[in-house]
Amino acid sequence: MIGVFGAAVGFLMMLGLMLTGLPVAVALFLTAFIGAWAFLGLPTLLSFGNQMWSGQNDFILTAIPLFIFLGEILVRSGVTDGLYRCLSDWLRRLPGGLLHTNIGASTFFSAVSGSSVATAATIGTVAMPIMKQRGYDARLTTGSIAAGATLGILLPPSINMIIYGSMTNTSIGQLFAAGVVPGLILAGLFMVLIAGVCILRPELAGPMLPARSWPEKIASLVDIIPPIVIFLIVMGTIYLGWATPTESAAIGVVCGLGVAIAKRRLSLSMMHECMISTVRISAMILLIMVAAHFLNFVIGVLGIPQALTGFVADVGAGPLQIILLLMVFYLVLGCFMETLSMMIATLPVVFPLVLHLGIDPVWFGIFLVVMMEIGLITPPIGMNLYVVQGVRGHGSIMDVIYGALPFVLLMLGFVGLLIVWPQMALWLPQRLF
Amino acid sequence: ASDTPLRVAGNFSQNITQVEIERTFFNGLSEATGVGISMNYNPMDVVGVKAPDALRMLRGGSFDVMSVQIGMASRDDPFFEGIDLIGVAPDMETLRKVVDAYREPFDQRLQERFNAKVLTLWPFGPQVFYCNHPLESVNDLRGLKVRSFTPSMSAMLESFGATPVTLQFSEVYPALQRGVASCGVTSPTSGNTGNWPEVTTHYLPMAVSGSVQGHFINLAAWNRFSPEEQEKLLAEFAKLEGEMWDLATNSSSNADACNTGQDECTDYRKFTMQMVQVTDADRERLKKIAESSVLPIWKQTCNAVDPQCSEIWNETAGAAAGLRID
Amino acid sequence: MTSDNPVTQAATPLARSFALIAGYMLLGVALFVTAEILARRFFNISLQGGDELGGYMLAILAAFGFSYALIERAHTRVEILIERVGPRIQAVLNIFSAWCIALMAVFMAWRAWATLMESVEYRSLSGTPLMTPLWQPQSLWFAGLLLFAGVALAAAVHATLLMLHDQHRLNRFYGVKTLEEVIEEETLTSESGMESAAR
Ligand code: NA
Ligand code: NA
Repeated sequence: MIGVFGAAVGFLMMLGLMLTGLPVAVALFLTAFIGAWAFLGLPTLLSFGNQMWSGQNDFILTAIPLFIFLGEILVRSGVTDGLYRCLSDWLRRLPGGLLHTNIGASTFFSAVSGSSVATAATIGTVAMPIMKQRGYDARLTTGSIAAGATLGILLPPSINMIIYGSMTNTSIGQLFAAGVVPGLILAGLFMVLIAGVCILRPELAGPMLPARSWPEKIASLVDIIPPIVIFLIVMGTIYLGWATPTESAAIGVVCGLGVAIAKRRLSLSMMHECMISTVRISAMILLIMVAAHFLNFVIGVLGIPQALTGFVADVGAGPLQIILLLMVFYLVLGCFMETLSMMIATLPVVFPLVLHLGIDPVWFGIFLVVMMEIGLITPPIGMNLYVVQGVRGHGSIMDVIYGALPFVLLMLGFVGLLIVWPQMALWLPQRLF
Repeated sequence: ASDTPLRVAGNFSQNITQVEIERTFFNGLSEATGVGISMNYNPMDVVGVKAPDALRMLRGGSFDVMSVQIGMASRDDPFFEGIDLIGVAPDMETLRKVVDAYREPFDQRLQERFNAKVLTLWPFGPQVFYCNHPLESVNDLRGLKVRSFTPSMSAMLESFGATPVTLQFSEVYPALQRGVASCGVTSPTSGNTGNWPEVTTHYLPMAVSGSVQGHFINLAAWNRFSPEEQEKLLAEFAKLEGEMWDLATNSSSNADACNTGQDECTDYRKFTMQMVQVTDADRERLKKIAESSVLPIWKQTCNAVDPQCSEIWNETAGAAAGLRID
Repeated sequence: MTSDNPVTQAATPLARSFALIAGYMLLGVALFVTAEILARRFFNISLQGGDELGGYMLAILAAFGFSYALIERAHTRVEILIERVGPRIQAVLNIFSAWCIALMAVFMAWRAWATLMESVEYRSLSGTPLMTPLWQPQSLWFAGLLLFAGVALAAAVHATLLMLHDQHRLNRFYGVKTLEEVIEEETLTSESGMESAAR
């Protein structure tokens, strides 16, 4: 129907529309609308209502607002403050001190939060004042928070994985399981990097925190219990077969309410704040999905995925070349696009190609999520950079960008590791499912 | 003359065999009939279309031809579900009689209400039980959680004392694996190609329905062809229909053998599920359930839309199956 | 849209109520699904329909939330270019954006209405064990989209009027959020957690 050239023109048009400052959802929709108008005729456009209903009336996607809601409840219950304080006691002796706490707290919070931006805002708010007060290097501080928080979408639960799973019909339970080992390894690598830098240049880290007494340290452990328990309940109900991944999100919300009650933070106004915020964020994501769903339909009927697959077959590129090409593609695109929109906009074309090449959909999901994590901390558009800078409230954004740079390089190396050692992602889901 | 464009939405790509047959058929249709057609074929899920929307999209003309999952599409008209009600046809032979008897009123209604015409009507194959729980007869379904996808299937399951669980298709495999559901219902071939035997142990080949599908064409698209062309096309579609029926009948028994690890297994992946024998008493019980709960519920839903519904059914499908709704 | 924007002021009470209703529906689904899992696991009872209700809830939550997200300027925009051009071009781009959103919203509401009418015409029932008449959830869904269309249209008209005499306010009301605004919003959540922790 439409060749690779036509598809490229369409893609550039979509990027162009985005650059004029149109909301991403509207740019996607307009591209689909023009494509359908020009090539498919009016009936296709008029079917939009039924498609919109079918696309949104989808229980699997219910997990998106549920996990956002869970994160909101936990943060407003003050769970993160306690978590940070506790970890700073236990990690204080490592070279780099509180920098490790940033990574550790991000890891724990990621285990209950489905979003990296929320993780950055949360950890940044807790960490920034104390780190400034103790004289930590601004670049390393902000970089470690921005990078550590990207784990939010790699460690389950992950909103990005839910959307990927629902768009590609890949098991969300398997995707969640596949994110665990790479997430923990990446967190470990972040800490190794921090330790290495701080051993070479000890002046970048602040003085060690004063020791607290053992009874105090033990007592503070109570604060890491809520995220661990919620994580275990959410993943456990999936693993034990009590609940599907979507249903487990509902259990997570109920547990979150339990924590809020236990911490005596549950009130009507707090509940309303959580709800309003959840609906605002979810609606933003879901409008992009409405448009992407329609674009997917138009792209599919126009035969663009087949055209691209045929093109790649003609060129004779193998899976490895394509993955390396996609790595560059997503690295560049990730610099300019908000990452969730980037995934949703590209999947309809990229995924059939990936499937055609025999690449494991679960592995590709993890690959894509790591590329999105990188996109979150590469300028000029990197939400985590901005959020961390915003929490910091002074100095130059360049500090954050430079601070995140070593982490970006580390993560690119990590993607290489994921390519040569795919079992890193696939081992756990194969064991569990 | 220039080629007539034909935009086709095929069946769901997880039904590998049927979609392959379809794809070959549509791409070769122009050559086989000598009718100039520029074909655009895509499986429904590839273009992100959901099964229940099929009739509306067909009527609106988004697609010229659609492969319709009739059970799902009956959302917009319960009359269509009458072609394949639970417990009516115990085997493919009876089902074919029922389908042929119901074809005429079915087509008429499709033309009147959805501006579309029947080209083919065929089943995926007998819908049988895959369970991850020891089972000696149908009676052991009592107390088990069984995945259900239509109202009448839920009614049947409840009559067996089972608990219906609603799950999306993509969630069934993991649900069986982890025990969210104890049994799933699908055809021998679909279950085999979907690797359900990997996560289930007991195989109960009692056909509760045939999962009837159809190829329908939008009337405006149909009328773009001349009468001679229409005749040639109908002849080809009749061949496709025959092929699909053969597939449902023959490959089902081969898939039965493969699922349960017998020597006759040749065409599908071999597994080692335990076969649960279905007795005549079991079939009789299913028929009783159809009469006492499935058919009355359907009558109620369908006659609410059109009071003629159950009467038409009695004269056609019911007569073919030897059943009546009172 | 900032708080001194008359369109925002007029629309906020309704849009906020819609968002709150959606929030309570979300809470309801969370509780119902949890009950369903527990009943299924421990009492072997199938309550049924959690997934169906959850699906309706999601469609309605999205529709109810669109207008609130619009008022809060939460719909993601790529600001990289628009921040670098002069106020006049910025104003033109913002008008373009406001009208595109409005037309999309109107189109959505129009097609949702047609879908609802089809469900009424066919008396469509959900193909699930609950057999819900589809017009019921679809009416709520349409109501949300209608509000979205109304707010988006009002915003576009207002932006066009501002173009004539006050481009500064046009860019402030309908432009891309400034960095400060984005950050304020992203950290509000954590700060309120901190405040309550301090209390
Ligand atoms: Na996470
Ligand atoms: Na970026």
